[in-house]
Amino acid sequence: MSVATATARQLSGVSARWTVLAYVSAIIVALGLAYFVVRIPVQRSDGLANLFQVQEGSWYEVAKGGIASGYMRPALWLQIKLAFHLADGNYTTVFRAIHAAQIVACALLFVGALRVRDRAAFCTVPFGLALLFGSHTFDGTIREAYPINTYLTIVVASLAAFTLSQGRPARWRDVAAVALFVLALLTVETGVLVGVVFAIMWAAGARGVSRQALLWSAAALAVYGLARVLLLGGATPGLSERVSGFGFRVLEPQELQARFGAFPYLFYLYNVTSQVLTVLLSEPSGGIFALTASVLAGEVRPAHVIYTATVLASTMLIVAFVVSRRAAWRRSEFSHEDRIVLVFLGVLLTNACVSFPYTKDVIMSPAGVFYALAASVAIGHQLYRLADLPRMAVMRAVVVLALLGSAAAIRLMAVHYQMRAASFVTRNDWTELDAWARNNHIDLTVAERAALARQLFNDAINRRTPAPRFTEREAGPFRRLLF
Amino acid sequence: MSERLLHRSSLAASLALAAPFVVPLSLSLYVLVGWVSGGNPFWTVPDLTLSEATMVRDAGEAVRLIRAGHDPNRAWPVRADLSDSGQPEVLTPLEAAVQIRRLEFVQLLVREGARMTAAERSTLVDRARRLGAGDITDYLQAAAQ
Repeated sequence: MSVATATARQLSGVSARWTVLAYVSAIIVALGLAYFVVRIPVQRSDGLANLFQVQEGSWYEVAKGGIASGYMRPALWLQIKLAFHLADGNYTTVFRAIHAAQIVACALLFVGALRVRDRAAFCTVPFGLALLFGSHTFDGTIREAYPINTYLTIVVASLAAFTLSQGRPARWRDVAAVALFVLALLTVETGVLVGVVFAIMWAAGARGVSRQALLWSAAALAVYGLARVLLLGGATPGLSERVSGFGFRVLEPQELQARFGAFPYLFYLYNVTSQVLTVLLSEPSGGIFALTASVLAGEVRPAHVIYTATVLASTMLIVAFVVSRRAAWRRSEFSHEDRIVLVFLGVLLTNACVSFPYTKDVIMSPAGVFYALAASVAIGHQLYRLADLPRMAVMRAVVVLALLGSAAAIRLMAVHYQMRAASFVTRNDWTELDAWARNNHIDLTVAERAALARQLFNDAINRRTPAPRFTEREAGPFRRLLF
Repeated sequence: MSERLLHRSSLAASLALAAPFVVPLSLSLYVLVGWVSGGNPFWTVPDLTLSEATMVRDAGEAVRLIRAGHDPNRAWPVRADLSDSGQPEVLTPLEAAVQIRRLEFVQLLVREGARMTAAERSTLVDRARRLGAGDITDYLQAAAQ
């Protein structure tokens, strides 16, 4: 770090008030989103079928039911059952409250991970929050719930793992770390990322969690792997189970089977590469090169371009950060900011590898969150380095930063509109309840099921939601920038 | 570079990045104030007639209105700004569903109690045919048999 950069840091005014302001802005943004989240009804498509299962099965049956068809997610099912019983009839309220609480927790942990101490760091917080909540990988975590959003659980757990790894070593941190890892691992496959966070933080010099706890976590992972082999025969989700994006369109399970059934590894490689690129470039999304297709068709949406430009610029900033810090990394010198970027790189690769069977943006949400953290750090790094630049270069940087900030702010505002659209779609889904039950061979004449379905149906239908026509009209001339 | 200049460049750059977020932060704050005071600032839902709900593809609202006692078999006014023609109209929900060429809305309304006489069905079939809604034409003709 040059003398000028060091001075700039000093002049940025280290003070606790910036920390407080950072938390306050995070709470405002998160609660602003929570307002919309609590208005989205419980989903009919994924939510109701899951609720029937926890309603009818014993605790053991529910946990056992979570181990099947290439998946091992008993903790997820137990969480849903626990929330179901705690709700005691107030299902919509409780499940929406859980979702809102997860979003607030995510925002607070996000700001905590940034360790805001001065003005420059504070100024990167809204940018980071916009990248976090505006990310297409995060979209599925706030738009959907089954009725607990599993992916958001892992996002919160990953951020909590990062927080636990910081600070002074303590026994309680070790116990919490192992418990968090086991819980995440048994919730969904991407829970393994919690272990990746612990491992990278430890390797980069953060010793809040001890080596002993890491070894216990590794042992838990080995037992988990063995259990998968014994209980599932090492099976992973097959090609015939769901649709997946490939190239410029979505392929049906039959098409996937026909194209890749004999040699699926090429398809897996495509998925892993797509998942890495979707975080770094925002394209492809869900395995589909949608922006490229729209450019070729001459139907580009300005909102799409603004978002992609923001992501590209952020990625370039992260690359610049890595380049500027690589010499220090070779000497094994890691600052807090370095650890954030290193964790991002590790989570990105692992997250992409774990999601090899099929592409879905929301699976990459943990990588997306650490991407937002890394971009915040990288942009903060540039703010401090401005002190080394000549005046004209500073002027140019100010213009670029203003454009970048504006683009990210637009994206953050667009999330509010997307949430209303999500609520509209989810509510309308309930009008097809009977057809859905018929198509999925679900008998709604069973008394308990019928009562639950009727209650959730009424909750959804009576939640009046503005139609997209009204929200788009409300956006006025900014419509093309937001949608 | 003097310390003062350093301070200015850092401040200008930080503000350039953060200033645009005043808008979404204010928006969020406004939402929260409305939430606390029960004002619902960003959740204003205009009152719609059954035919208007159909015109704006609001299936949930259509079902809510029917279950609240609104008759799916009578004609309801549609305001000019919600009408496809840009003129105020008076339409039955089924006519509105045909107008927007959405078969699932026709089916939904029938499920929820909308009925047609032979003459009304024939008019709807003609209208669907004119609008190129072949799926609705087929459905209405099949339902007549």
